[in-house]
Amino acid sequence: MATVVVSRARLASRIALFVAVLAVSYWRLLSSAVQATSRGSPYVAFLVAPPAAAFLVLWRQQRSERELDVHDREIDFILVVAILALSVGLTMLLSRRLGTFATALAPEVLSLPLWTAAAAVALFGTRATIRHLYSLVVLGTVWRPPLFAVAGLVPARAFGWFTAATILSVATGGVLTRGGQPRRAHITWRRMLCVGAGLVLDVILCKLGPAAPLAMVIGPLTVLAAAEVTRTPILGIPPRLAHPARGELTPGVGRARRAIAPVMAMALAAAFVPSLTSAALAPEVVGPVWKSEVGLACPDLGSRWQLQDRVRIGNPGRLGALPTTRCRYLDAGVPALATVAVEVSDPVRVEELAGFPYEAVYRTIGTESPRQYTRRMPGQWTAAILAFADAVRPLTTVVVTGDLAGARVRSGFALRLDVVVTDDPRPGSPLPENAPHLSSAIAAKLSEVTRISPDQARRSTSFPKNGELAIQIAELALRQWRTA
Amino acid sequence: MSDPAPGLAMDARLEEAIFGLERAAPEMSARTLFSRAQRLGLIAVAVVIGAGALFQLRLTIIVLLVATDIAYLVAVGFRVVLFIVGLRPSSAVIVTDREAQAIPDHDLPMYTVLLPAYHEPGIVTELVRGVGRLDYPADRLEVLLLLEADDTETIAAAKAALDAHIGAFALVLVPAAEPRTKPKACNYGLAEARGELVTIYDAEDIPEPLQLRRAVVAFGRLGPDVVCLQARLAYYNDRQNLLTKWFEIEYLTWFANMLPGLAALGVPIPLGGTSNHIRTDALRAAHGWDAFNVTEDADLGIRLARAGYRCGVLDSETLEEATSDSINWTRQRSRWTKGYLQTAIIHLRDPLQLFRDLGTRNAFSFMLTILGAPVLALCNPIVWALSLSWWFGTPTFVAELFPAWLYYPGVFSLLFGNFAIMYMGLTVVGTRGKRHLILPCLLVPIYWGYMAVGAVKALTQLIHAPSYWEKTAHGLAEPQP
Repeated sequence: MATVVVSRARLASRIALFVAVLAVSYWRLLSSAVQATSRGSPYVAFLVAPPAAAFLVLWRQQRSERELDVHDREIDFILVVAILALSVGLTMLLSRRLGTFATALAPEVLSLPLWTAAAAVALFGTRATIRHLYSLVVLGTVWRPPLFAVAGLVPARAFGWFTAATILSVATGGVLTRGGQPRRAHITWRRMLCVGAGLVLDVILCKLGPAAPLAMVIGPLTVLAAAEVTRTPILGIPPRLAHPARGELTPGVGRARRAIAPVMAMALAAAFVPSLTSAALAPEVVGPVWKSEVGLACPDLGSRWQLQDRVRIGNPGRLGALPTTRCRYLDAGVPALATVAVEVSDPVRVEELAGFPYEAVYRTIGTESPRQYTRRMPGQWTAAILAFADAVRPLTTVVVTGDLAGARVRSGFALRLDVVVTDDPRPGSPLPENAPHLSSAIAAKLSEVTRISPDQARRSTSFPKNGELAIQIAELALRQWRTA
Repeated sequence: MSDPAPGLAMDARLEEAIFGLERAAPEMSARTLFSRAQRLGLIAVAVVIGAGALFQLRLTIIVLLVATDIAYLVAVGFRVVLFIVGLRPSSAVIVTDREAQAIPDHDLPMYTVLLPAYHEPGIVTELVRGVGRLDYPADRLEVLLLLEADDTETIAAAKAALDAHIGAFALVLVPAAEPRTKPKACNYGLAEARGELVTIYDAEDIPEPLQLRRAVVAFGRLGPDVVCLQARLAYYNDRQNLLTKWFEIEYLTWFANMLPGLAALGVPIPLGGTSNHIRTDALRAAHGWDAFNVTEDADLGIRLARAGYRCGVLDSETLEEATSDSINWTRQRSRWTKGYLQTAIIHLRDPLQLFRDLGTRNAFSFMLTILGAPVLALCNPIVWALSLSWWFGTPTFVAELFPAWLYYPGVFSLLFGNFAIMYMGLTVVGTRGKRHLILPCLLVPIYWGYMAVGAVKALTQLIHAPSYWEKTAHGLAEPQP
């Protein structure tokens, strides 16, 4: 029950160790984040989460006077083992089970907050970690599948749905845990109100952000990043409001408070520095809602849809010898994070393609035959899932869009395929030793066929995970092109 | 465990309080945990499992899983039986207010109330006030406030509180000595108890005012072979947070349903730590509580049963404080689990004798309640890990461990067992009219996670500090509406 005073030097060394441990453990994720940043991925917006979590840690360093001074290292280590097992299980077992979709669901990203919690419990104790639970929740927002799941299924209204769902879940959680004691209820409702207000503010920023001055210059996703930064202090407010009677300041709090400014600056920099957020202007990866039209010319789709680019894609069969163009339009009015739903081919149509070895493609998704796959996965679901997969994973995977202009099409539909190329296939992948050569070859071919600049194609060919699907698709693509 | 603090002369009374049981019945004392035969048996089991794992790993694990599955199924089946029996109104002894108040004061026996407290200066005033509300004539009530002699803060607080309640209350200072356990203090107090009946309340207890009178009536009604009555425990701060709500659900299920079920079946009852009313002569004949057992109450219930006595459940409530803090809760739970393991180990030193003393049915009940609960709590994390690993990754090794004949009973156990336990909780909560506990009932699997942490901590402590008393901090309750 005695209060243990940890010396500053010891505390500092523990914090340094904590940061080092995280960096070493998640160096792959970190390096892919750096790559994504240099490549201009909009996922950089979510990299605000770690500094935001750190900010919250500093904000909440003060110990509440209601906090019980009971600590137990045995409990700490039991929890560490349990949380670590869960974290490792997520990364190793779930990734394997998900197969292709591991890329989309990113369980190793999900394991990050768990692993961080385990490290914090080991280094600072369970009670200190519980005190900083909000920080872990904020850190958990690095993992975006719940958000993108909604984004993928409800294009253009993603944040509305997400916000509604979150507010509902916060309210439900509040009701569930609400005690009958008046002061507790008061605290709970105030806390829920603050969190809800933060989320509503998010929505307003998302909705109004693109219409704001300079929004098209800095990019709607930068606005989302700003929303993230805004939400951070709002999430930090409830505990302070909830416990107005403060406890004693622990040594070093003054300095920690002064450290808030640089941390906030860091977060803002991550959100607004153009070199970091250029991804928001890189629609090839993720961006606002896109719509593609394939035809002889680019029709006028109204003022909402702005023509962004046009690519000549050759002769798609039924349209005879006339040159065909794919036009891409940007929905300027609504920011969203799903992008390819309208561009993914319907599997039923894929079945009609003559000469295309579709079985291999289906096999990678985990089913046995195209017919079976078609039955299980109607076209719109496939589109949604692929959109989801595409949207959640820009951190470590960049999808290069190529048009298989040479594919022999019987029924006259142009086939568009997203090609993911990797230099780092997993063991057991069909062409592990040929992967680098293959990806270079595909990069060259992509450049030739799709008119992507060779540099861009080459930059897009080195990605760490999910080699199996990438190589199989790439192999198919290459075979098709060679045949053609 | 070390002997009394050096420099202090151990008087005979203190020595009796600590070592009395060990001297009279060494095989019942937890001072030494494992007997020689048990140690050899454990080594033999470890060798067999180790050899099996070395040569037939899959088969060995399957055998262990079969044993676990059977244990789960039997435990759930037993709980269902207890649940059904415990729902009968006759399972607990009901004494109406009128019956309790009808006994003339001069017919009431002398009653001793033991109030052990240690490092509880903040709530000792409430304790004295709560016990002071008992409806029992002062000249027939002896309240012994048992404090450790070196616990100066609590002694000062107690003296201040007792100034307002002079009469039945007496302050008893227990000489400072190891082990610092509640049973040691209670044994010390028991030595000077003058009551025909004795009961214990914890520092944070608020007993129902008529409880002692009800106990007197119940003892008179049940006959001389019933030597102990366990009153129902509940929490006054159950609305404080989710943890206290879960805790209240567990207490409701245990004290309002399971214990009455055990009593109705006539099998041994693991007594709760407080509000058990015991005939003093029977308690002395059983050599009091085991000072080295951290769930001395559960152990006492079993020893009384082995001595041929019976225990009943009294329909009267004592309100306690549910610990609202996760770490505090886990420490408390680890002590309880460790104590159950201690009790099981002690009474299984001679299994044949246990079966002779209790009879087959009662011995099996003992195995399920005292040994089964902590062992299954320890098995839970393992089977959860297997289930999660299956859901996460469908690894081949898990598939190989669960052939169909084992898989389906396992699934049945998982689905039916968990559903049954939640359903029982919901039913008890519903019958008690505690609607605010319905939603927490549905979230109770998270609470099982807490229990698993407590169980693992208990197991580790059983090895390196078997008699260490994890003190539960009290006084965290917020005022209730």
